[in-house]
Amino acid sequence: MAEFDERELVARCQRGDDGAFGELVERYKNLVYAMIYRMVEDRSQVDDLAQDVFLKVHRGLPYFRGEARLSTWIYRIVSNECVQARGRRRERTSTSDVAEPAAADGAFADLEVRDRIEKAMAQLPDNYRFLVAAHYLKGVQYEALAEALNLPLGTVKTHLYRAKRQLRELLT
Amino acid sequence: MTCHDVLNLAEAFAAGDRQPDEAERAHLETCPRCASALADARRIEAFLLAWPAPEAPARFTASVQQRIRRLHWQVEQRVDRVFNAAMALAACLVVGGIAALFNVELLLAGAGALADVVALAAAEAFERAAPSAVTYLAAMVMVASAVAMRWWTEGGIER
Repeated sequence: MAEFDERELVARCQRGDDGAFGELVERYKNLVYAMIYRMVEDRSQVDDLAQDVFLKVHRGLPYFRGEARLSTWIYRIVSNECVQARGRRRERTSTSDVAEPAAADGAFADLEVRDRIEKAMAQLPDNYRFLVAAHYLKGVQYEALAEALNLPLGTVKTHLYRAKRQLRELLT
Repeated sequence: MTCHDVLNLAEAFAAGDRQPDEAERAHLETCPRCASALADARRIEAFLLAWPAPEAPARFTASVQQRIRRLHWQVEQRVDRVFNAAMALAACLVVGGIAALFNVELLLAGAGALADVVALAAAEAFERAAPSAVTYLAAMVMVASAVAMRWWTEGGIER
């Protein structure tokens, strides 16, 4: 999306154009939904959390000054929303559902891979988890993630390697 | 070349961001631990590249807009409730004020009527008592004299 278009869309939203906000939701809904799907363990929460993100966007739009990209701001809201949701979940449940240790030969049975990786993901620190969840989505750029997490671009790449290494170590 | 060096680079190799050089490749061919770690890193990379990313439901945007409308409606309801309460309070104050004004006039009218009644009664009593005024006056003087004599006999005056 061109920067000019994004600014125009934001300006229309700020003028109270409901249609423009609908366009904004349409544009970002799949990214937001997928990020949350990958970030939270309780899949029944995904829909509500994704809607909450857009409610926060709607509430914050009048104060959005365009200093960061809209996508960056939305990623930041997604990250905060997921961290809060995980915190609430952690308060309710114990962390007993940790990943099972893998077989000594390090082999992954295909049927188990997804479940085990997702459980291992749940054990990553919040910023690593967000990085891994968001980076492997189409259209998400390193620059936007760096801005969303307030990190230098090089650090984002380093953190991504570290996150995947931690994931591998959790699985072996 | 150590295992530590190669293990640190496993994710970069798996992501294709870096190709192993001669020494690293030689180490990977001879070290089962590092080869296994690289294989794991590649599996994780493959999983992440194919990680399901479900799309939002078809009615997602409509649901968001509906929630926003509901929130607006709730805010409006709250504003309405506060406005209605304020109006009811204002109406109570107006009614109370009018009632208070009405009551003051009534009180004033009542007080005036009471004063008239008292004045009429006093005038009537004076008219009735006027013919016997001398008798009443003499009786009053006699009572006063009796009271004074009693006070004097009891030593009320320092002699």
